[in-house]
Amino acid sequence: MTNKARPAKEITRGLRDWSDNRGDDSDDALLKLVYRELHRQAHRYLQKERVGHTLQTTALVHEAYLKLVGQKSVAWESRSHFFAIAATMMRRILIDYAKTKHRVRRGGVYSDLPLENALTISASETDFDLLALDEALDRLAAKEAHLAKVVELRFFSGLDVVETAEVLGISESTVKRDWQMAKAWLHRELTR
Amino acid sequence: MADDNWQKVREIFHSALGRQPEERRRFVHEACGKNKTLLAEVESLLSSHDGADSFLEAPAIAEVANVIEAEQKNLEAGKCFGHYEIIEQIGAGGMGEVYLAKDMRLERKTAIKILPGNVAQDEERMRRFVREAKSASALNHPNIITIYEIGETDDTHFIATEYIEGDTLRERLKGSPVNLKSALEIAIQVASALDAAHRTGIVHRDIKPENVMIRPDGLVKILDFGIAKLSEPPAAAGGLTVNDSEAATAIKAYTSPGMIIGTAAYMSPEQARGLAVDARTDVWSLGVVLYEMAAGRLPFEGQTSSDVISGILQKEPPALTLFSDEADARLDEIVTKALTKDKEERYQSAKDLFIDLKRLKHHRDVEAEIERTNPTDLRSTQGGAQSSGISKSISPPVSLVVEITGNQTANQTIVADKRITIDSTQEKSGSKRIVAIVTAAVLLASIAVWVVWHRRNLSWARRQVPQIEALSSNGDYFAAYDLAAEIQTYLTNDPTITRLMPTISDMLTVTSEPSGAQVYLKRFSPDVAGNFPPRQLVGTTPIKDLRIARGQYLLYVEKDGFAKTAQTISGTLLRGGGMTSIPPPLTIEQKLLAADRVPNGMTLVTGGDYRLRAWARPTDAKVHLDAFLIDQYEVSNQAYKEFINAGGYLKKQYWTYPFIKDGKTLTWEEGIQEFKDRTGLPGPRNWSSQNFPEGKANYPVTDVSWYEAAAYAAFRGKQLPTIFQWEKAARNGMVSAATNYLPWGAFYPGDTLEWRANFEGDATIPVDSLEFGMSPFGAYNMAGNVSEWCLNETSEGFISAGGAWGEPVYTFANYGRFPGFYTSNKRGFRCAMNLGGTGNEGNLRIEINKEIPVYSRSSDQDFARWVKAYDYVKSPLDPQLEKQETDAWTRERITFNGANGERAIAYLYLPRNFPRPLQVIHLLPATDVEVGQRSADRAAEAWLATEIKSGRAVFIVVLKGYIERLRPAGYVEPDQTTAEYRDKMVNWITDLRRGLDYLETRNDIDSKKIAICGPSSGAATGLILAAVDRRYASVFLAAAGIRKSNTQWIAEANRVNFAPHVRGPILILQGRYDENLAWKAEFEPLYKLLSEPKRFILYDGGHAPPMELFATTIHRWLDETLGPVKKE
Repeated sequence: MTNKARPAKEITRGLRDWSDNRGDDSDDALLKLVYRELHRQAHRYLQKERVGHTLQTTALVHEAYLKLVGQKSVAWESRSHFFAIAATMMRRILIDYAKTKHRVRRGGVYSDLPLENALTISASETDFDLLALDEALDRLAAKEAHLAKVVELRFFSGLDVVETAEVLGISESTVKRDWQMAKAWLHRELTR
Repeated sequence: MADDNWQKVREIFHSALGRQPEERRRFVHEACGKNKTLLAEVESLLSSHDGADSFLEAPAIAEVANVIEAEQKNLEAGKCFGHYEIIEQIGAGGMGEVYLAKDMRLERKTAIKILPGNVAQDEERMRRFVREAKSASALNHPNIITIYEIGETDDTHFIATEYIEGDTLRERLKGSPVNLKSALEIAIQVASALDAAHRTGIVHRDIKPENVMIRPDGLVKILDFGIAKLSEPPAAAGGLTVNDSEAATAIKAYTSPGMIIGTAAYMSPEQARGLAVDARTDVWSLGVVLYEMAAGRLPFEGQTSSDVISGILQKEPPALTLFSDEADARLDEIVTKALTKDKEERYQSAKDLFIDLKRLKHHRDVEAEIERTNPTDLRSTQGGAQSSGISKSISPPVSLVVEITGNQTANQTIVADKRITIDSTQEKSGSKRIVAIVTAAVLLASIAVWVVWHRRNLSWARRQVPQIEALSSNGDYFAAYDLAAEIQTYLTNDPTITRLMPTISDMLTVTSEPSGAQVYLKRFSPDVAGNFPPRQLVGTTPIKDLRIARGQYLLYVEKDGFAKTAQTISGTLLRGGGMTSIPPPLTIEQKLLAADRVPNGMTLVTGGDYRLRAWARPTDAKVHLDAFLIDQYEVSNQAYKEFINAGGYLKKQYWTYPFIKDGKTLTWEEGIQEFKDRTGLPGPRNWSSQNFPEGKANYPVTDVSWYEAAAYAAFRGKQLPTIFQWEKAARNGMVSAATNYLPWGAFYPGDTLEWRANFEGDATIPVDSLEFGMSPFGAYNMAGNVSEWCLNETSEGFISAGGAWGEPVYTFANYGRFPGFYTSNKRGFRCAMNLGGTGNEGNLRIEINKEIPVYSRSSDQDFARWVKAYDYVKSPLDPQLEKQETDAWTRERITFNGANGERAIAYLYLPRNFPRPLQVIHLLPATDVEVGQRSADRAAEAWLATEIKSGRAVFIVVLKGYIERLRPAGYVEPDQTTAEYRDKMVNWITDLRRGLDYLETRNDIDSKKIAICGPSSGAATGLILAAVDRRYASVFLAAAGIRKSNTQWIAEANRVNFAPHVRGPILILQGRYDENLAWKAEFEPLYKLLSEPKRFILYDGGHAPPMELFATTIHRWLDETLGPVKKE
């Protein structure tokens, strides 16, 4: 379970690019620190928590935040800023987990299974694949980056509407509308 | 540009979501205008949004956690697990890993399956799973694996089963076909196991090669019964079938995502859609497995699971014969029937599939035997056995022979000859052998005959396809569907039929609460004698996606101990808005009430928020309705008599509303004096000596006031329905943009009112007549027969709704307002009963505030300019004439060159025995004729029969839009402010004036004595015609008026501009309570505009004048203005 899908550097670079767009000057080391902490927390959650319990992603990110802020007195632009970055990181962490899993299955003992036909059912009316979602989210970002951000915060970081509105500095009703739009668009991408 | 579009997409998407669902489509079409790309984008997003409720709502981490969880469960060899010792891992599936283990207590090998933690944690689901797995195991069926133990050790749930040495079918397949003999043997065993399980109510849900074990001796064992169910949401797993909405709710409520519950390739369409499944889903999956065994490939392939699923949902699999030399049409048809997307048309049970497979195997064995004993290749002789083999067809040979007796053909003769040959060559052998051979020969002959028979059927079926197409385009969907269903028995996957199916059939879903109710359908398809086919039992609720012919039906839902329900349903293609659209699937959710809760003759109407939808609604208020009961029938004379007999008029307790007459409150004693029958006794005004007219016991009571209706309701422990309750019961909020909506559906030009509603009749009919006019809640005669008192009071009086006999069909949407003491022979009532609701059920007082406008006279100069628009060239009329004699009159149908290069049509009614030349009444009919709801000639006879009989000719021109000259389907009436509307009116007026030109050519007509007669909408046309053309000597209008909004209309077709310039004496017959054109606000301002000589007659009634009053009034008016009719 220690498999790192992507070199941390690349992730950090990606994060910096993202930050640059926001005119942010956070240093690499800090971002790495955040990433590691989130990853550690996620890993701990995923390994220890019994599935079936409600997983509070928000709690996880909060915990990481408290830990980092407590350890190192870094002047984050704001708490919101942290959550915004953390959401992107959580997306990468979780997608990497999903990828790792796929790789194990493709090369491992289950090679007889017709994997291309294996279907991940989310136990909702919609069947979707986390990796396909990740790709679709990139396409959505190309259309309207803002919508992808809302999805990262809501889905990957587990924030609710109020928190998302706070982080992005927009109204709750705007978040609701964006969420509605993003869901409809992604759902269509994943089901057609 | 692209971004621009994206912003537009977003805007329209959000605005659409802000609207009521039923308004969305229209809104989006309007908002997108002609931009088809935009429209497609927004519509697909909206549709996606509707299915995305729970999508992304569970956090991502939960999904990842599941994946990890599954990995953690791996057990290592040698590890002890309870009293089992793990030997090795032998498999893995979506529902956990499988190990070979040794049961240390019983010293036997066993297979252990470890269940994922998230599944095991749900106690309710575990309990259900255990129950199901055990009962499957308890079947003790040779083809079902035996379960030894279901238990829990070290927090890990497991299942221990018999260990089977052998291969899974997956291993056996290895991407290549299994020989057909083995494939059939395997499939037969699987089908047999499934049949046994299904009969005890257990569905496997995950039949696939991985779950089919084959022992070296050929015995097949099915694994994992009930396991797939663990992965389903609780409610969906609760029974064999679950109604869709429950399942959807359950799915939404179920939040643990990320389980792999099966491989997409074997899923049935209903499974792939996430709908509830039943035994037929296993039939499908076995069909896939059988296909794969025979073809060596899957029927639905794709790069990704979603490709596979889209194939399952939409594509037909390639014919088996493409991949297998062994496969023949019979196998292909069995597989095709198992793989029918509509589960109603699939094999309905594993048993049916089992039988067909057995038969096929048997036939093949026989064929093989014959081929071995007789070198001649039967199948090549027969042209490759182009046969059909679904269960109806693969019947025992004997019955086949019987069935085709008399169908002798050349092929059969050859076979017969061959049989003789076989017989003679074998005759020298021993007698036992002869018997065997003869048996074989008979079988051979049977097969051959069966081949011929099916080839004939097949070619017959092919010939029918164009017929289906023709029936469909004629709108005869019952016949088209029946024929299609019949030929599909022989001819599957015909592309034309596949294409037509969505047009000629509908999917019906019926659920009831409680379920298990019988559902019957009765088609609205009278034969020439007016008889209807009997109702047919179509199933027991829940019924999901049952394919039925498109059309109109009565639907009955009945269950013992519960009140029976009936209603009309309609899958009629929706026409309007410039297109024909296929209606959404028919979904009926029927709540059943215990029989003892529903008084006799009442029916349940469900609650919910309600807003009036009829176009003439007096208020837009939204109210909350609780579920309530409403009388199925109007109150009959017989029932009302019970009220009188019980002293209803004497008991003050029933009369709870204060009597108000002309603004004054009367005492009870004063008020009750008003309610006298013809003989002065208390009772309806048309009764005598407290008896209803003879023979009318079962007719609706009429001639009763609102107060009497309310008192009767109190006597029954009921009350009058509020207008909101009444309308909900009558049309359940349905409305059509293109035409009038009636209780059974939209009423299109050419549709019949027969068996539906009494509008055109000349008296009431019994209350339980016209079952096909039933409302969506099973109430009769809500449209027509009698207009019905409702509870609500308005500032203009009490509401009466639904239209009556002798009124145009559109009066269904009219809500008249009348004084509480008002009575008429068109007014009755029915009662409602609230089921303990808390709200006021819409009993609100409605204020009607219509502004009273003042119009000014248009100048002569302006009028001269507008009237120029109506100039036309007097080109040759070229009239052609057909005569028809009846007892009462001579009717001529005349065609002549009309406006816009079209042939116009007119009817001229000539009285018998009156001296020529005749006076003529030129009738301009009401809206019902204008929009094609009633034909011009029938309207002429209804309005003016008495005038024809008293010696005047009647003339009516069939204008564009009337029956006989209907507009193309989807035509939308132009907005009255536009030039298109002016052009429409110019064409109409031109046709009318050309008709007048024609009358002038006739010697038997006195062209100086032509009068206009225009009721309602005809009055509106008359105001223009009589101003434009000076040849009319007299004008008679009824139910006339100008709405304030009409002032916006285009000048050349604006009645305000034309009314002052109407020539000639004019009389208007107007109802004091006209609900369409109000006395003060709409009639009087028009009347003031008219020039002298003018007159009006006011009567106590609504929009549609009583016929006898209409007839006598026009007769006197024409006597006065044209002179009396000359008699000899």
